[in-house]
Amino acid sequence: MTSVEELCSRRLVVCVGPGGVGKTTFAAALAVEAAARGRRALVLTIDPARRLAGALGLDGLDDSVREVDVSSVVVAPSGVAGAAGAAAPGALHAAMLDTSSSYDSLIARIAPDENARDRILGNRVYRAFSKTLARSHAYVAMERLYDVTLGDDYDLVVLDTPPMRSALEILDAPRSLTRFLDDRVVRFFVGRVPDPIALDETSPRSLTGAAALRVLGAIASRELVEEMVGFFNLFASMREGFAERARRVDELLRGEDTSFVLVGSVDPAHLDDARAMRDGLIERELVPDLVVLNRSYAPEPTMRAGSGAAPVAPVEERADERLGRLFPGGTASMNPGTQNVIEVLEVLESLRRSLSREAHAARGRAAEFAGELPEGATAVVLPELEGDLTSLAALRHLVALVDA
Amino acid sequence: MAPRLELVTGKGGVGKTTLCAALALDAARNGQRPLVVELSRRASLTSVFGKELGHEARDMGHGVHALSVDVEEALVGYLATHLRVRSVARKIIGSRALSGFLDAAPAVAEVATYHYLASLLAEEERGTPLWDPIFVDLDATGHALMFLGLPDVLDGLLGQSPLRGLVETFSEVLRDPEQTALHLVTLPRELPVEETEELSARLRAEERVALGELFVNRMPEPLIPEDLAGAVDALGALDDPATSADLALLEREARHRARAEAHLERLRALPHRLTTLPALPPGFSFADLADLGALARRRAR
Repeated sequence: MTSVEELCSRRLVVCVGPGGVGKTTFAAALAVEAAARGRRALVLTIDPARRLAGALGLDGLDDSVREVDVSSVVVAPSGVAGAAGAAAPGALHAAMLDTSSSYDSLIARIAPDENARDRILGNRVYRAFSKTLARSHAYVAMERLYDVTLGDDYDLVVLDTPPMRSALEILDAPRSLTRFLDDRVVRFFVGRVPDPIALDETSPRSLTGAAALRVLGAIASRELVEEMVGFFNLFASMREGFAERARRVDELLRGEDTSFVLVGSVDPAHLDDARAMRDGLIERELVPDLVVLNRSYAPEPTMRAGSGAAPVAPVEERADERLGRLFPGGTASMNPGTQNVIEVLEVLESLRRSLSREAHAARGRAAEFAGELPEGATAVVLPELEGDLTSLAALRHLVALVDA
Repeated sequence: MAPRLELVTGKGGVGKTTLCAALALDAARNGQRPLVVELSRRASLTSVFGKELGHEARDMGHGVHALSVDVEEALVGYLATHLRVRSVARKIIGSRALSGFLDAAPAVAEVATYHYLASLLAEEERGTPLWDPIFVDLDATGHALMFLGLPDVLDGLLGQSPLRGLVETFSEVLRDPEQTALHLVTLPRELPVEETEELSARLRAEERVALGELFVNRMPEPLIPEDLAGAVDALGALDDPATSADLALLEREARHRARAEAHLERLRALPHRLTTLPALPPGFSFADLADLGALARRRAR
């Protein structure tokens, strides 16, 4: 079973899962725990997640990396400060991956000269790429990840991914970028601007790259094809740099030092999404080391966030029996306003039943899901924590439940 | 006339798919011929109807048809309208040099999807539309914005081409309140509400699509009528452990509800028609789903 200790000792932990299950919170909690264990951790989040910023004591999160004050949970290493052998204290940093602003800076970094950079930035096909498209966001996210993980500033990077499909796109980004910049594609476009001819001349037998381009030109306009050819001509010079970085990011994702955590919930719809995500990972030959299923809505009164106190379990007892036990002399002598206690007891009985049914069904679903996991993956079900996770201690408590 | 194209979007996990299914089941019960279109390969609709989806419409039972758009097939379909021979389109899509490009290039999936949706809207049987209404289950809000933002992305790249015609015609359909309604779905919880506020502001600023309802799913209902408050207090005063444990559960429900009400207030400040919907009972049936769809329609009117 993968323990919190092991996760904290990794280089990169990628949290994936459907939206609305507490993925961002879990990613932050893991990073806090790692910092408390003396690691220099960075948590990269995708969602604006203001509440997360609040939990970390930050007034906001943006593209720049901010330090989180973890002095309340990090124990200073013993020994003389700076003395040889003294462990470095843990630290925590956080940033939101704002993918829209960093694409241009990526181009600036890898362009061979200013002229090439300006021509690329002005190319309309490039601008279409960099605008609002999730798949180009995925590239940029991977680029940021590459920069922070291969650098020496952090021992552990925890990546919180966007929900579902986009998360898989992020994982595919390095490979699809490499395919996109494949020699064949570049050769295909570079130095070609075909004459528009009648489409009827295109037959399956005579299909060539030029013919395919003619089709694209006829459907999408000659201008588009010209800009595209221009785009690829410019990119030809940067291809190597791009492809090399993409290859290394892919290696990183598949490396021994990387773990995937699939965060889901016992809600049936979320579990279906989590299944699709799990299958998506397996298709990509990636195995989630840990599956965290949140929000098991327990029939017990909820544990308050950050406290370990066990709640009193409810007792099964029919409403009329309880009425007899509590009011052996009957309720006739009570105030008129309190006489209808039986109605309340009936509501309580049905609430207890429905919560217990729900909890039973949730346990069954979680067990079924856990049974379908590949070898090496462990599933844990976390109880619903009531109240906001607004302190580092509360976040640590959440992670502690994984090992419990 | 009610719009025939109903788009549904919202943060992941808020119940978009369930709402699409509920509205479709209600439409079918009213004698319409609804089609549900999924734009991403999520298993959600399959888990509602228990049937696999394909690129072509399939009968899900209960009068509902559904399909899941396969981008590659949609692209073949689009190119085929410009070529005499479908196999040429297939060959272009299958070209090794081009397939990587088409996978990664921006807007390709969106163009193909526009075309497919336009052709579904145009399908007729004996002079009347084959599908009415068409519910499109858009992926999370980021993808919805990308889908709606296609004209912007292609701006200045299209010249006078057939593609420009497609993008412009479909954009008109999206903007026309007689033809289209984009429904937002959310939950009375902090993060979904925040995302809804941001999405709403953006959609209103961009004016690319006719806006429909704002549905707030899983709104908790009060468990105890107010006139029983005295009885609750009387039970609490007994200090019976079993009863106190139950009352703690009841209080938890009340806290959930109070938080939900506060989130609902924020949503009421948005200029949308707002419709609250209760949670579905555990193990709900198709009839329950259709009833939820009917409730959504009734409250929305």
